Amino acid sequence: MEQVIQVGLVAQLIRTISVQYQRSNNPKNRLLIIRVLLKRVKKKRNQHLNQQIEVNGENFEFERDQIEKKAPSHRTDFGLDPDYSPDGEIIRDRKTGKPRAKQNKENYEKFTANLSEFVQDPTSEKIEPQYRKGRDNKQDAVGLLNRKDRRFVIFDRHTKKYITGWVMNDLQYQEFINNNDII
Amino acid sequence: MILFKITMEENYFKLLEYKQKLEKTGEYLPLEKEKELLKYQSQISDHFRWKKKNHFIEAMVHFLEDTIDSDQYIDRFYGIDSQIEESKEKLKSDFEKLRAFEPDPRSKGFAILIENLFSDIRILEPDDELRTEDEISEKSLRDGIKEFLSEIQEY
Repeated sequence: MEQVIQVGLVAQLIRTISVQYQRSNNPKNRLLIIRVLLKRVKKKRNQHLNQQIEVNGENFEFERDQIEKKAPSHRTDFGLDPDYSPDGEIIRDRKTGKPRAKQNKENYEKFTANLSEFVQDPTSEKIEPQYRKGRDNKQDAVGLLNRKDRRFVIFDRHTKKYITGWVMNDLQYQEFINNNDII
Repeated sequence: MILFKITMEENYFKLLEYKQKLEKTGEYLPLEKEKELLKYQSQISDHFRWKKKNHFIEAMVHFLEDTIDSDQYIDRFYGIDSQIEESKEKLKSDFEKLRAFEPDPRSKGFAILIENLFSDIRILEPDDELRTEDEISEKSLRDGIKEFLSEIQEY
């Protein structure tokens, strides 16, 4: 079944590239077209890996693309082992400074399972924070928090799609309890 | 003033002790107590980050002037902060030093400014094609730095 989907998608991709190519003579635009299309194909190819869960009557969704995006930086906050360099050093994520886990299918699935387990844990408390993005933008979020270890997972409050989650440090936790902001 | 200061520090240790006691039974501090404890802990972060103020400013200015790129800026920021974390851990592990610790009053509120810059780093996605709704561009990262730079320099 998966192979049929793949073949169909590739055929669709070729068709779309041909049409777009004919419309554009600029090599830069053509490259952009290919990149956008590849991104779309990847999203479609990953669709069947999206997972939905129900928490207290609310349905939330883990989109595989977002899981793959967030996993390298936050997996070790949700129980996955860190990855090591050949010289035995823990590999750290550039953007969070936290240890990275190996990027593979098995780990993506384990990460999703651990996130699901966390949000369905009855000791996790419902929160409705604002997720701060840059200076002036805030995203309405809904999520679950464990006050004891300060782990949280948030979803978009309107689409119910997974955004992110990690273990808050002192300053982040202070910002959350004082201003309801996740930074 | 001195008496008030001693009381405040004692309260910090009492709260820490209370927190550890609760954790053993799987409980956690009531919200108001947690806020109080965090207030003390943020004084430590304020103090140590403030002491490295010029290092942070230098990295920000170099990035804004294109002397370094975004990757180098991020590495510099984490490099500075890992030294700060080391200092904080050293202090926290030495009970006597912690008891005698006096945060510089000029540092009050400094750490969260830097935390905001780290927050931007965490959600940076320079590639337009890969950026998702919860991420920001390099331009937004620069705008954030510009906005905070003067505030940080004033400390």
